[in-house]
Amino acid sequence: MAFSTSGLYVTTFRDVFDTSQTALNLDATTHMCALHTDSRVNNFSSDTTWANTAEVSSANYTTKGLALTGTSVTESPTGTLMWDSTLNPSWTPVTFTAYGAIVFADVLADEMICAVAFGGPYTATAGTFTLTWNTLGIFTIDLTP
Amino acid sequence: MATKWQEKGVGFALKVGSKPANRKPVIDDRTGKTGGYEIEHWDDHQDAEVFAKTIAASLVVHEGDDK
Repeated sequence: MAFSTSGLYVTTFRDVFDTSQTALNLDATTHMCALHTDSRVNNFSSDTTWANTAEVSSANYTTKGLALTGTSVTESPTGTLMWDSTLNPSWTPVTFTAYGAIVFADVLADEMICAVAFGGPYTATAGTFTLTWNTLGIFTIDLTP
Repeated sequence: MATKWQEKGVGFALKVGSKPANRKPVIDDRTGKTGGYEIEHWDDHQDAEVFAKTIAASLVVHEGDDK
């Protein structure tokens, strides 16, 4: 299975901290969530900008997926940064099989933020495909180990 | 006899039409636990529900000699 691991894209976060000073605003409501098939191969060290390689395809699904609204960066729990969205992306009616989602910054030339592997294939057939974020957030970074 | 046949036919139709959706768990390859569901409906359409896992990153303090 190619799309088998979740992670943050190193190049993007390097560019946030180094002299590139990439202005990644995780509070923005323009970050896109795209769904991908098992043919998607993620390289968290070298991938930089999102491309529609191995993106799912269906009526009622637009390339690049959906914009995540209700985004926020908070401290939760104490000592940990949590990024979350109140929007659980949903498409209907659609027909495809997805293995994972990639979130990327649409306004930063599609710089990739994170990939979320589903752990297996999920198929919707003329039905509703819903991705529900974990109550603990899309990603967390524990800054106080 | 004709009446009995019609009654049976009506009963059969109601049973098919009210068939509940089949909620199938999808096992997460990484954990062996349920990661979401596929829901089959009586008219053959199917929904998918993924419950994403949080990407949890953590700093690590390395214990060792001073450089």
